[in-house]
Amino acid sequence: MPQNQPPSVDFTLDVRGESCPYPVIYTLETLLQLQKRTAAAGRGRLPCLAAQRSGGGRQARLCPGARARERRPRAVFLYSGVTRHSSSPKSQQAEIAKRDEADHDLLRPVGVCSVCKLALRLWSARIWHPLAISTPCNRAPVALTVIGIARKCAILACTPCNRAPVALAVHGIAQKCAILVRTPCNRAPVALAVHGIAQKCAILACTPCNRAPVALAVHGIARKCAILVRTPCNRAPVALAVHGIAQKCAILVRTPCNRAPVALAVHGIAQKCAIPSTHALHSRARRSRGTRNSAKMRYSKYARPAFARPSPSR
Amino acid sequence: MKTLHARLFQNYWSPYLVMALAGLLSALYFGITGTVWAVTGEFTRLAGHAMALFGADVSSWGYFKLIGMKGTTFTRTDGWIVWGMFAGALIMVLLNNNFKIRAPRQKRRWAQGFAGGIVAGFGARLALGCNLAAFFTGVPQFSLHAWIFMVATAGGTFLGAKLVAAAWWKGKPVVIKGAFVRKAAKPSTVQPALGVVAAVAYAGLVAYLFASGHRMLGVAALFGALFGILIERGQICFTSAFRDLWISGRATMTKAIIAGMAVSSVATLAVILIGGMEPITKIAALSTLVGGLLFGIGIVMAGGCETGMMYRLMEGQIVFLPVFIGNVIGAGALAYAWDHMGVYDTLVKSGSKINLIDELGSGGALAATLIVLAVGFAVAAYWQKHYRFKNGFKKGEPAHAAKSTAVR
Repeated sequence: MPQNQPPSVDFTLDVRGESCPYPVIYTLETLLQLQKRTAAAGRGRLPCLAAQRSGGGRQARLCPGARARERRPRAVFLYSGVTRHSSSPKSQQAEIAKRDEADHDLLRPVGVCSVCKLALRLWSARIWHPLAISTPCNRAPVALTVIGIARKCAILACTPCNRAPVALAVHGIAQKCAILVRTPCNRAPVALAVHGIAQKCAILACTPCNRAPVALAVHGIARKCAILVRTPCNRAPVALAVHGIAQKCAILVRTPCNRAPVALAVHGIAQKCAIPSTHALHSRARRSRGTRNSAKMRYSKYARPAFARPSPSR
Repeated sequence: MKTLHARLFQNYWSPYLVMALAGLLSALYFGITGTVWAVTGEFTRLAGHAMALFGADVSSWGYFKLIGMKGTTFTRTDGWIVWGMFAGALIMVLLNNNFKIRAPRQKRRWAQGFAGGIVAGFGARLALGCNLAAFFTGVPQFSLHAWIFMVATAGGTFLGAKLVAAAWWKGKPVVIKGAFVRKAAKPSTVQPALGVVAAVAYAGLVAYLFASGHRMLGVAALFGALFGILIERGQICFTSAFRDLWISGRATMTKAIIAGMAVSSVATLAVILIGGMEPITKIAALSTLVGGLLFGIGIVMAGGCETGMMYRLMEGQIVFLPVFIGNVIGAGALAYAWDHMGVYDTLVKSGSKINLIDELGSGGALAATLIVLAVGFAVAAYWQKHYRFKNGFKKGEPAHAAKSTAVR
């Protein structure tokens, strides 16, 4: 990511001048809203924001899933909001413009009548939050910046360079504040979620390839280590939030479109891990290498749980 | 040296340390002056002076007879406690280079703060004390009314938290797409220099008070500044001690205040026993319950209690100016209603002064106080660990967006 490029921040919550408890309420509710949208898109269908906007008008917004599937089934990437067909720069720009417009709509509640709301709820939860929060660079996962007073009541900060690359991961309870820092290599926006009070330190790092920004959330004291990992495609910034002690592992997962890096925050014990999609990895491998074996070779270290065969004893 | 400077003036202090120090200082202040660390009593007197300016004869009002109206705010120890707190907080804010005029984005906060200030001021004086005299310094005096007030305040803050979370009250936040880019603020040396000047000037004032024979005023000015320094450095807000429990589950301030009260209880009892002093006991009555409830609602509406309001105002959060004015107006309204609207006869007259030392003895009072405080601390810790905001952001939650995507 170029140094001068604006950081990957999707939305900024402006709480300047607001006193307690409004920064907390605003931040938590906004994060919860984003989380719900993300989760809804993950559980259900792929988001259809770009496609739905291609229909234009209010009706398209009311029934995003239906309209999108009719036109371009699963045509939109989860995080980028750019369709697979948008290969040429011109069309891609158009798609990005549509995505931006759709994102703008996300900032407002969809103004529908109560009957339409009920119909939407009954129809399916999978389209209720079409999601898609796309970052400016189309590469990063969801990020929310909160600007305002940096008090104990607020979860917010800008980076020292005042450029504000922020991914606010408010895991756990609300009083946990976040402190932002840039990586030493000055290339990557880093979000440091330091849980607890500010004295608790955070450790920054770059990825080995010096390309991927890494967000390390080091919880508690400095002994608790963090582990960096690059994504398989060597393109994605990865944020690893390793909570608690070192045994607790984090596993990376790529998004289906193979473009969006994902920050996995694995809370709690090690069983609660995330497993890469076998299908997605195979598909990607077949497209890029042509053989399944090479895919195994390439991704087995990342996707071992999915590729492992049952033991003979079983 | 730089690290020490950063620790003292650039970083906030641990609220536990701050509250423990505040507890010790309040006990010491009680031992020296025979009065407790309190502010809303002086707010009421300020309201009385203001009403007198407009021609009202407040000398015959029962409430002012109760709290005393002799002299001016600069000839009373309670007055110097208030102004000292303002001064101490301002000095630390300046040394921290942290003063900035901050206005809320939501214009409604002005009216909300004013209304909350009135309700909180009225409730505090109805209960004969705010979060200090009827709470932080009330419990260590083993006065039963402080416990009633504390429970009622907790209930009031719960109702207040429900109120401020309502959409029509909180308003809609400003959400901007993308990043917010702004120029880096240059570190200024003007504020720290002003802070040093203010500190030297205030120290000179305290020295003058001692030198001119006004020792108690000097002590009050000194302790007021120390209290102001502590509440600013520790960001002590009694409102957040309760309100955050209901909104975010944060209990840091709650636990810190409980720890401070425990320290203060031991120290105050030592002062009482060594100095042979009488603990300050207030009337425990229905007014304490109602006042605590109103106070709890009011401080959440206003966004801060009396102490929180003071240091935030010094930081430049000017929305707390109407809160301060509202506090004074509310306290004055209670002073009027005390006699003229039958508040005393209805809510206070039936009460009595109950002190745990009289009921349980010194050891029993201290043990009972510490046990209840320990239980409160444990409950707060449990609450903090298990509370989740609207069932969101759960620890160990596997349903991360990335995982959801992967397993789909």
